[in-house]
Amino acid sequence: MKLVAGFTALMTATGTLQADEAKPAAKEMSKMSANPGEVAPAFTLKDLSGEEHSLSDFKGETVVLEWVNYGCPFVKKHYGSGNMQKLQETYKGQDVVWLSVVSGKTTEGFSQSSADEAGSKATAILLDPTGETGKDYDAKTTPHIFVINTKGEVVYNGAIDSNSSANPADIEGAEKYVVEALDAVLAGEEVKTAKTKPYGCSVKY
Amino acid sequence: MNRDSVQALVGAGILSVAGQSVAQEKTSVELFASSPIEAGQTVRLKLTVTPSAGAHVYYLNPGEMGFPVEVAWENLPEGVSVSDLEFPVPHRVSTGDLSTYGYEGPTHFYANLSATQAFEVPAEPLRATVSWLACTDAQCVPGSQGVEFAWSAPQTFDESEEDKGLPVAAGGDWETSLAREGETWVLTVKAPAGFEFPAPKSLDLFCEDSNIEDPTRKPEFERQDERTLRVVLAASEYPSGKKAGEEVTFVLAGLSPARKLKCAFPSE
Repeated sequence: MKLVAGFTALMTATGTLQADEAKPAAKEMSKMSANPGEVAPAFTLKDLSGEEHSLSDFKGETVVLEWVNYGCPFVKKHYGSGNMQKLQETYKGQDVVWLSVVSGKTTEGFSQSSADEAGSKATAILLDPTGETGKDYDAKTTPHIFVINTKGEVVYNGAIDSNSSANPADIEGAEKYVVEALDAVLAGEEVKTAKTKPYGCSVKY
Repeated sequence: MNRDSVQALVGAGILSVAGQSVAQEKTSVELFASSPIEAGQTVRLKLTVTPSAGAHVYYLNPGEMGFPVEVAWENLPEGVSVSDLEFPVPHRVSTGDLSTYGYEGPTHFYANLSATQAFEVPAEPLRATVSWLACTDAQCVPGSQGVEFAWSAPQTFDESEEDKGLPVAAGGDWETSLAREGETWVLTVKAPAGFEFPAPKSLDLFCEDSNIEDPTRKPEFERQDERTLRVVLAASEYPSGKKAGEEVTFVLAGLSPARKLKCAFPSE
């Protein structure tokens, strides 16, 4: 079953991290990221039909990048409830480009039927089998959402909302970070909460 | 052991997809009490959560992902209160590429159940729902399960055998301070006279609050003298949401017992 295969591929190996393996606090790490205020890392990725999409194709447009795995319980929270599709339709209706991105091992066996089953309304679903784009953005979880403004700058990086449970009933009362960010961008205003901790399943690179 | 008195109810998964139910069913939950409860008394509750082999559940501060074990008491009668769940010292576990804090194997959480003098034993048992996120090599599964506490005949445990992994609050003779230095936090701990910190390599530090320190980076410990410890922590990349003066709680592991250290949050 492809859905299960995708789900299984997303979830990651578990093991005890020995203290000596952890990175010391004072040493700097050279890790790429896409923090608010930075230029969004460029990418060219194929969609499920093999067509290439580059971030530069959407110059002058507001772009959402949504890391996804439809088998993850936290993604299911937002797709099963219809919350994610509603956001996708609402903001596509305001000329926002919504790109779902599947990174790393989750791309193995991933197909259109997975997206159809989830009811995705994204502009396109992009495959990132090497995980290079995911790592450039430091995408950690599914979901993990980035909002890029018309200048190509990251203006939001983080969780879809403030409630990190996997329970769809918690969506309504949560602070809606992505909605707030997109509404601010579309109104030409500054995004007040520009970075939050994403929650969900780990992206397996 | 009175198996009838505390009984795990049928598991109630938050989500149900193919492949998830097996791991969830393997996570077991049991509730114990130090004794039956009577008016004017406080008893100790022990909640044992056992994830399946190879799985872990999460600490109060789960790290880069996850959410902690939680208990929701559903029918607390008037005159009865339950304290917050007390978490044992976690260890560093990796959930894929992410650095997290959690527990593998049977893990014991504790709380105090208190009744006022006016308490009268209700006819119905006390009910609670325990929820968790269990992650294995293959998958992460959110789960929940109902438990019951029979007021007069609970399943009991020997309080003298309470889990040694539980941190204890450092006394007032411990001094702590937290300061921001660039991209790091510096926690200074001064133990009371006569105490001697062990070698730094045996120590670890966990913060009960999320988004203070960076879970991907191990703290650096420097023993400045026998009873003064300086700990450098990489700061979280996320806003803490803390205001100056608010309390932050750290757990210093590697001592016997581990100590809970409270300090005031400084200006960032």
